[in-house]
Amino acid sequence: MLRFRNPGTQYSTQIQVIKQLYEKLGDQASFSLEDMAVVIAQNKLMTAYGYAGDDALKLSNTDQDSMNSALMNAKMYAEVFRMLGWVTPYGNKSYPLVFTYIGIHVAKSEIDCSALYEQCVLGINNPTELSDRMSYDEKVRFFTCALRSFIDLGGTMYKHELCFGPMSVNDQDEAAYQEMLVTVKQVRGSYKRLKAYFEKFASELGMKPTPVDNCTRLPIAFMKSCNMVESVTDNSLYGKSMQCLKITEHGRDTYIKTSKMKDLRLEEFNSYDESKQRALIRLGVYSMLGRSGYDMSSIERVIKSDSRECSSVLEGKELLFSPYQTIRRGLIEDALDIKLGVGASSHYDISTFESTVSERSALAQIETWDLNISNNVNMALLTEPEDIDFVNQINDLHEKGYDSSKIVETLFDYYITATQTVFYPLIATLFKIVGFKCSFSRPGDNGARWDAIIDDEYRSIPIEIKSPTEEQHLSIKAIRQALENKIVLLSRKTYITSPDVTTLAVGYYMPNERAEVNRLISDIKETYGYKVGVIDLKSLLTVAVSILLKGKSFDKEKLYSLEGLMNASF
Amino acid sequence: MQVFKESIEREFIVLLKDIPNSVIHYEGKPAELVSTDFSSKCAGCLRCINPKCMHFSTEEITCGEVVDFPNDSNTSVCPVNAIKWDRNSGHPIIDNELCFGCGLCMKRCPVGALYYSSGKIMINTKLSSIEEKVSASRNNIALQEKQIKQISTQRKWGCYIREGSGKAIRIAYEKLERLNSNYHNIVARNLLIGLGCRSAMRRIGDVYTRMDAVYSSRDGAFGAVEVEFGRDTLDASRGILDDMAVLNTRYGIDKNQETPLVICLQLPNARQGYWQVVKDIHNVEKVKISTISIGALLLLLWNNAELDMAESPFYADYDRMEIRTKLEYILDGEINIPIKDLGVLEPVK
Repeated sequence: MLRFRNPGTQYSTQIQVIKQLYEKLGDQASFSLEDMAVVIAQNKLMTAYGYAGDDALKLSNTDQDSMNSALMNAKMYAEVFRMLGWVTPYGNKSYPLVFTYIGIHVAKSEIDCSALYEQCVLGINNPTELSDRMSYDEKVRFFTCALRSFIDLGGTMYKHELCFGPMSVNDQDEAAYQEMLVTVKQVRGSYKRLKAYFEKFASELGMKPTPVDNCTRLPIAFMKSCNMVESVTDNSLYGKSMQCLKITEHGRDTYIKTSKMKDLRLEEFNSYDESKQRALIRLGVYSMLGRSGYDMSSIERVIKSDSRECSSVLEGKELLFSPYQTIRRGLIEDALDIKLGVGASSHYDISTFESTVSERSALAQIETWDLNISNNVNMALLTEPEDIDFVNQINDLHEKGYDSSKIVETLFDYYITATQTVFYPLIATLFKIVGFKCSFSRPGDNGARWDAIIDDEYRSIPIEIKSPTEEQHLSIKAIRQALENKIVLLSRKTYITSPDVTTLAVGYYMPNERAEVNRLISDIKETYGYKVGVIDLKSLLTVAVSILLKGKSFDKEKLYSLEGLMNASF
Repeated sequence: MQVFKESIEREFIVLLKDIPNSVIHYEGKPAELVSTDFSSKCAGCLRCINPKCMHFSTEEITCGEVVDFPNDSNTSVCPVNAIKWDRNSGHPIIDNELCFGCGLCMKRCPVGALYYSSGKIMINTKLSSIEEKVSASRNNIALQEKQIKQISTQRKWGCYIREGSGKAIRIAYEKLERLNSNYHNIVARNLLIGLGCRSAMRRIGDVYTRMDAVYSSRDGAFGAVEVEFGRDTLDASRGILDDMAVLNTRYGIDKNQETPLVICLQLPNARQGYWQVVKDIHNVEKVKISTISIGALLLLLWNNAELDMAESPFYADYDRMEIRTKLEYILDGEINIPIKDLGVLEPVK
């Protein structure tokens, strides 16, 4: 199966990026990923952790290249642009790169260059001289094959059908193509059958289903950007309503046009003598530009002469051949009589952007509560049946000989499937065990903005709760809601509190993007003056078990002024 | 190395014989250019070298208050790419399947050659007696640009699309409701620009730039924009709080200097809690979040109005969940759209 990587796929962004890159790097002999990263970041075409420009570069600058988001972003564009034939390796190695003749036309385009973009999408074919170490060996011009498949399969396809369909066929082998159609038709009719077939297909590739699914993102985005397909909801293919893709009129027209062309691939190209190869290169490049609305009248004579030389190959047809997407640049430039890859050396040095990664890492810190304060359970707070059940649950585990850590682990695992209906009362119970008067809101009650509240005489604390079935890791969204809870409480005064008392977000796991969450918490404090505290379930369970079994807790006073991410451990 | 030119070069362009005093727009026919002797004539498409009906300038998609804002540099005027240059005919053409009738291209045409008729945008390509076809020479192109600049300072009257009983809005909403979410922000940004604001939106896929867009109006207001086409409008008010925090700490803009704006397809329903939260935010933070529907923006645009935001005219909250009164005040007349229709001026429920 063709492995389309899974990079950024917006047509408009791709065009913006190539234009900026050419403007800034077009005078260099070649350019590296680092050059690209600096240009992309400085022109605000990427952000890192919410920052643009030099700050984004500084925040990305790690010793490990694979963790450097600016470089990885540049690599993503490099891969897409290479696939589209806009950039190509300068030498025999993958990097540095040069702009291709086609890439320069895209970059210098003054109007909508979607027609040339479509030609480049149609130009993607395998194998190429540049794809010698691939883990697949399909010989296919994917997008024409995909359009043909759509038409032959009734106009609509589910994305996974692309994987075991046109992404896995040699399209010049008609029998193999027909066999592929039969396979897709046989899978259709039952979603269960599709699921099983797709899993088996992925396993035979030695991949998990999700990465195989991800391989459809880029080709679908290309087809949508070219208005070849559109999303539709369909229930006719698999007996249930599914988001599918439907070929558009333009997609059909495009296939009809390309099916009448001479589709030239690498193997056949290599079989011709050099003079014919040069003529085919010129015809390939010029016909792509001509079909895209460029004025080619000044070289009409060259085109006629080359067409005559290649008449036995073309047999009166138009040529479908994208040289930069098929062969290395040397022969192309000779044929076009141009010299690319000349100019100045790099202007940019990414290492001059002093790393601020450590500052970011510091932001990801979590504070830990010491459980060293004597604290016995106030049973008067534990009045609800769920409170008693929970305490009994801990006692049962303790009696079984489980130590505190194992009890916490057991309960933590147990609650991973908890819905709001179970999770909200659990969080309220845990706060009650710690010694706070806490009540929860009925899930879905829009009137009460918070999910639970610590009802205090002067310092009430609203709690935003995310059950693991809503989101396992707390997110920015929960922090935003915690801020809203605070403002609502101060406005409506349903419980007494003051601006300096914290507002809490509680979830199953701590946020994945801790630095982002901590930065937002700090932004909120600076802008509004409110403290947002974040606690995960394991920490609350740890505190509760510590109180119930050891009579030890943290300094409860600290909860009222909690700001940032808080942990607890035995 | 020969880099070929896209066949945009016109063989000819169109110049005006005289600069009109004003332009009067109508629904159903091209605008009339009124000259100094009060005679008026409709003009055909000028075949502009830089068609304003198709492209914004870089300045229009940039907000000076946040120069480092990582904005999307898409300059297309039509948010759904329904207007294209037709190389064969040498003038723009509209794909009416895609077009939802926002009217941005009409408003930007310097001579009002684009107009709305029977639910579609049309282009008048006939040359009138006040125009002349000239070769696309350097001098003529410069002269055309000068003329366009002059016309843009002249007074524009009339209305591009009459709301009638809401038919045009309904046509627009039928398409907007089906619009892919990738287009939501650009619809909002482009309408803001069409109403005289500058606006920069974040790029699609940029998850780190929190706000959907920022805007600055001609009367000096600046703020974050949250765009919500779905039902979860509470996310928008939360988003605004987050945006203000980010604008404060990263760009040094005090929250009390901001006029944040929520743009939604339909005004939130009363039960959703949005209006109460907006009121709470005003109570506690003294920040007025303005809320406006896409439909209301369309009405302003169709009626040749601008969006002045300095006084937070579209602040509405639980005590007054409607924007009809303010819109009627701005447009100086009654709006015929039925009460609660599509949630354009009042919540549906």
